[in-house]
Amino acid sequence: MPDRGIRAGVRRLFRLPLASDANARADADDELASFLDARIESLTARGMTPPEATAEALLRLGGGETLQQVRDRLYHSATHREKRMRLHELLMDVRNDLRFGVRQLVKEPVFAVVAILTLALGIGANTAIFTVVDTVLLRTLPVPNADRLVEIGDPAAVNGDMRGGQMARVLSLPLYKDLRANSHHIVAGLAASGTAGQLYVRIGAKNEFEHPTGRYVSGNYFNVLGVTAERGRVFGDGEDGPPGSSPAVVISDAYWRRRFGGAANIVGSDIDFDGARLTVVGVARPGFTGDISELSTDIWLPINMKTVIQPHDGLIDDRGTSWLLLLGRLAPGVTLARARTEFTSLMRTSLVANSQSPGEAEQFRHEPISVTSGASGFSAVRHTFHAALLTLQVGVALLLLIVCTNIANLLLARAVKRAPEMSLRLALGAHRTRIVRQLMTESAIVAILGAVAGLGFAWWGGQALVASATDGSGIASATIDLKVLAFTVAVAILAMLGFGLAPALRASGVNLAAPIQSAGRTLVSSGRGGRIPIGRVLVPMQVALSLVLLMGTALLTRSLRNVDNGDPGLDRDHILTVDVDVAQRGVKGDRFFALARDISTRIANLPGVQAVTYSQNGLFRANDSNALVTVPGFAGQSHEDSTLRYDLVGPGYVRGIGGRLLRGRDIGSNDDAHAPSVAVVNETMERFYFKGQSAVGKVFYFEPGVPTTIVGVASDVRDHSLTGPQRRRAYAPYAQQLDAADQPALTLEIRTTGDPSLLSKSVKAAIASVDANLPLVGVAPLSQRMHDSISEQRLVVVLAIGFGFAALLLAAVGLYGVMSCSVAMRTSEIGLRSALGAQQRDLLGLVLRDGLRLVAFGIAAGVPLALIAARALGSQLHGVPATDPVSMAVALAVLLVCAIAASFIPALRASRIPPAVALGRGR
Amino acid sequence: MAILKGTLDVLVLKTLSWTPMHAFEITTWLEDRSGGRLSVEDAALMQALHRLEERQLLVAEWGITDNGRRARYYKPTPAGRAHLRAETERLTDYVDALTTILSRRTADA
Repeated sequence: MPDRGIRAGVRRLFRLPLASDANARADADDELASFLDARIESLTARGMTPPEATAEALLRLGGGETLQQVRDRLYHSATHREKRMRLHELLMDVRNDLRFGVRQLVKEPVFAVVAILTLALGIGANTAIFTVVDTVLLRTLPVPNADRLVEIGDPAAVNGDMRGGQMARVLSLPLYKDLRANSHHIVAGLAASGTAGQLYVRIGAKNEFEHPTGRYVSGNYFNVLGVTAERGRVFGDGEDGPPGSSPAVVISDAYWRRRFGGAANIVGSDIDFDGARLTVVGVARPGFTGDISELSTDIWLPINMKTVIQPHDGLIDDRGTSWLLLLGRLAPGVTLARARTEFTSLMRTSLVANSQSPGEAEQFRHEPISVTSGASGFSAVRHTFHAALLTLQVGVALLLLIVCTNIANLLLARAVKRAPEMSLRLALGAHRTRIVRQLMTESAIVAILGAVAGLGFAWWGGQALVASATDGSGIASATIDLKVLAFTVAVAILAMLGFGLAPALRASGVNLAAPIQSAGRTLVSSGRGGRIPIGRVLVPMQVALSLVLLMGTALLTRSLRNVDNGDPGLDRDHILTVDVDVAQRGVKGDRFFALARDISTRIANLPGVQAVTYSQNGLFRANDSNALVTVPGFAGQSHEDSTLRYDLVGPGYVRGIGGRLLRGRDIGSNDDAHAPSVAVVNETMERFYFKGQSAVGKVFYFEPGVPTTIVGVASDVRDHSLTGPQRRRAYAPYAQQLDAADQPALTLEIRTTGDPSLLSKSVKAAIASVDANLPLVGVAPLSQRMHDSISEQRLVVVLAIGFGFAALLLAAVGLYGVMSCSVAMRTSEIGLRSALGAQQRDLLGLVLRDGLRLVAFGIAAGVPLALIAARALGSQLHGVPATDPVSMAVALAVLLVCAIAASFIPALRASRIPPAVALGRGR
Repeated sequence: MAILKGTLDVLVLKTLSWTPMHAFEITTWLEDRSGGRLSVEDAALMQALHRLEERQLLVAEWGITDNGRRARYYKPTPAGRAHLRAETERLTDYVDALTTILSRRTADA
């Protein structure tokens, strides 16, 4: 039983435990007994007989109550008092621990700074990447019960616009109406939205076009999402009427504030959409920026106004024009799985019922239908960044693990130094848990400081990362919210347990006798007992983790080089691209072709220009066109098989971009509206549809009844993306597609003899000489655009290199620390060996071998891990196998060089210890 | 004479302000010093001691009595001493006032 006589201060000093509740009660009982004895004695002294005295004493002690009641009350007071004292002691302990911990850290500033800074790096990197993961992958739409939303259609097809046949990836308006009419048992409401492009609007008296982001939505859109109006009203069923019947728009709160300065009279004012005037009927409530996670919508327009605002886009009630994505709110009790089953069958039924042929109907019966949770809204980038972000998140987690092992190592080294202190405390009766708590408090201080510094680092880094992840559009902003904070706290706690617990347990488990006996030294440390077993596990662990990160870094770097240096099939270094905003000048139809011809001729005459051509979508832009084509003699398995990407191009296109014509001829200037429809196709298209036969002279159909003859086959060109599979592609003469020229887009491709950027000035002048008012949206060398198109891969690689080297450095520091410590502890052994005639070289080898053995263990564990990790990278690697021997060799070589360097310095120091000093110094 | 409600605590503190004592000593001391006029109920005293300890006005430690018995010795904490001073002042004032009123000669006396 602990002696209650010890003073509180003494008890705290020696970390002695307090009484338990049971002890407190026993104390109270003892006291009562002793009181009774004294009373009986005094009563007997006054002449009572012992039985009388006992009865009297008990009566008095009972007072008006029974003795048990009094006792209970004493118990209550006693246990209560003990409880409060324990809490008080705990607070005192925590305060003392903190004070003591800070003192310990200040005593060894190098350890403290290294630990806190490396931890800040680890935690900061994790938080920064998590911020981006949160923004791009996890954040839900700011609407009530977002988890009850369901998305129908490919969530990445936010700007999809497919023609030429029915589709399931994006939906046509009639298909939406079918689903909406038949899904009342699945969803409480089903809304549609489509086209997230730039609008051409004029506001107020200004005559200049502005380009807010617009989205066409069904009348029930806001109600389904649960978004109300801050001013005016949101759309209602009135906006679902016949085409052109509801000239109304709702604008976002952000756009209202940004563009209209929050004007009070906004509701009722007009916006001019290139001729059509629509009235602002409301402002959506603050915080709602639409259904696309990375893109804020400024203006919502009713779907039925699309024919008025973009008349050239054709009929909106055509089943062959697919441009909508659906958002539904699940009816109570309906699960996502059930909604998926029901919508899949509803959609297939509608598609089959409206199919043009039995073959098409058969395809639709098996058409994959995308029905997913709508909690996060649609996103074009989520899918793209998913793999990259997860790679980075795993990478930074590994980095943090290495940081933790490193700090654990440093703590272990300190534990050795503090062993005498620990054994003294244990000898004085301190509990082991108490010592572990003290040591964990020190770890907690490091973790807290590291987390705070890491948050700062993450706040700064997260902004930059999100900016680059969303192409600097700055639309999606990374904010450190509660979720991110919680993540950081969780990471810090995990880290603290990770690096603090093992050393603390070890330090508190010292042999009581050994350190106190240290005066009686031995010359040869007792086998491995004198070294640090945990440290000898941590170093191989660090080596293994570093190898994983280095291997990943090497693979990603080589993959990027492949992508960067691969043959894109065109003359990447000699092309200048110029985007001309012809739509803004209202240039349409024949005037457009005349303009394109004039500009081309002027530029072709400039010195240094080899060839000039133009196209609708341009090179390495987001714009791309798809068509569902019919190829006689080819029966596809799915819609994807019938999908052909195409671009509308000017004369001499293949030569103009520096492509290679394999067979047949290029698009010519005679391929105009009066000539038969022709196209040039790429190799992939020829191989896929014509199975080894030449495609030249073959016919396929963009539209039923209009045959298009293939006049040439060009080699494959990487014209939209340097990664991903090569697509089937056709190049059709712009002049034969007058409907597309209604609101044409024009990108010039100018092939130069020298550096294309040198020509930009004269090209601009040439264009201005044709029409001085033509706005040039972008003038850039193609190589620049190609470079930008892989900025995401580049970002991943740059970060991976950073993580890889940080990991390497930390592993080297860890190895160095363990080797130094080991050498210091073996000083007398080394001295003895040296005295017995060991050469300097032998001693060097002795220590080096020891260090390299640790590294070898690490590599043995790391190689399989690295191969597994590399396999997981899979989809991110282009032209590099996951088992790439070069990457592995590079990673191993870098690691080995570092490891040898890290153990060489302590080894050298050991070999130079004069025997006399070593023997004399002892430990 | 029984002790007035609310005054036991301050009497105990006063008793202990001389030297640490155990419970039985306190009763005897109080009875002796009051010339036998005050009698402390044993139950009330024990509870008062524990209550004061709980309020951190007293601390206790085990010791050995003159005749070799184990007993819990109480002594006031600094907070206890402060409490004693404040209470003494308050009670003296009160008793003063009480005496002034009660000892006034009334018209019919």
